[in-house]
Amino acid sequence: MSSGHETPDEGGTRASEAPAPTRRTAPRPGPPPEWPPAAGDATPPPGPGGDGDRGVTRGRFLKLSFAAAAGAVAAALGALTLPPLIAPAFRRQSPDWVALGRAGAPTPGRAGLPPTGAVARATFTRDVADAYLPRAPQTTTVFVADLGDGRYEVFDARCTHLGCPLVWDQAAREFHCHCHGAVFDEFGEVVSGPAPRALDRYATRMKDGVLYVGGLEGA
Amino acid sequence: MATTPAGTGKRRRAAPRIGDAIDERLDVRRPLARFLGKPVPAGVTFYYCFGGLAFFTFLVLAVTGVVLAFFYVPSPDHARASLAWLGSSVPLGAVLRNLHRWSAYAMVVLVVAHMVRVFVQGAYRKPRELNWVVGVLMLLIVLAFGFTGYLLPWDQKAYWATSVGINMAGSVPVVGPSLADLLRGGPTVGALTLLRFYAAHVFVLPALLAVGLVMHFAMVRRQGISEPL
Repeated sequence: MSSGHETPDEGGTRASEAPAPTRRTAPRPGPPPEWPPAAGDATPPPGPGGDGDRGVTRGRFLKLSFAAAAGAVAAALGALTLPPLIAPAFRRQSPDWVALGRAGAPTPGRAGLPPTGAVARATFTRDVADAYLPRAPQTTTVFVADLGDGRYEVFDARCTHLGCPLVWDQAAREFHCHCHGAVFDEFGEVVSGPAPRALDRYATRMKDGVLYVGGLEGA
Repeated sequence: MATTPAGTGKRRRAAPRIGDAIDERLDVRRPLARFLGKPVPAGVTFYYCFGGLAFFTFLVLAVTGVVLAFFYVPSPDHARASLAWLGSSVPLGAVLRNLHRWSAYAMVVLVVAHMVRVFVQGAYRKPRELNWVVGVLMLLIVLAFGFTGYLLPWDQKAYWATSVGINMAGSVPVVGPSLADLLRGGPTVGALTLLRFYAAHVFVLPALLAVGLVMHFAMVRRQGISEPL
């Protein structure tokens, strides 16, 4: 494949043996015996502009310069493209506080909270931002437990194992996950099954007899 | 000439010899050295850089384009909102988008400069006619990139520029109206136009250009750079 009558020399000039423009294919020089150098051979091939004493030829200098420039460009592109892609891992939303219910009897337009000692399923709706979409209402399901003395616990209704929805078993006073059989007691603690931790809770705040929920804690 | 395949003796002794192990099995260093260490004719000047610089802009466009695809939605309902959100809420999103835009401008300029250099120096002559043909086809692909990408922001300028461009295609004798419908995907510029321009821009044209680049570079390596005049 190689006609072999041209010998590449590192950084040398070959103006005298320019191929004629009408040749069908320019010669493809094969690897000369000194290139690549054998393992451990640090002596570069001599050539014009080369610095044989210190092992840096002009060609090697150009190679390293090109490698450095390419590395700098790659680093710049990486520094530019990584932040947009990894930003979601660091984005934290602090959701608005929203009223969940009024203690005591239900009032028009507002559900009541469960009576003392009871656990009840409840929902609340708040506007949630989703990237470029307009803020839209999103309904969340929770379990509200009345601990007495006006204290309430608001549990996330998803299993801490893999996020399946939980069901409240009134008779057994337990939360059951039907995906993989996790069981939580009425205080959200793990009874059995694969759940790694107690139920996640929402931040709560009582104001004028109305229970407000904020962001999800734990998780 | 990205890296030197065979380092100095000192560095090779310090390295864990993974490169040696790979080279022993696959014999990569010798072909790589020949590929990267190819000499160029004397007298090659900076005028010979335009093609390589155009390829460099292509790399920048490919990288930034892939990241833009993580955020852009090719739908009339969301195209503008997704880009506005990218610019306002994504770190470096505006930089990313503008780098893509300016690299595209630069690519067209550099491709034309490359073509002018090859033309003025007569480097298209035998035996390199085929590479000239491939290059002209790639010029058309680059312009198609620009045309399809211009619609994607889905603003007034994009919409009307595309309408005018497609109407130009529609003025072709006999097949013009059918050609315009084909480009639009329907009787008017709309959701399908946006979607097919997007698909062309991110799937079809990159594949075509990649094939063209491989042919272009392979022919250059086979024939060598033409001698300077």
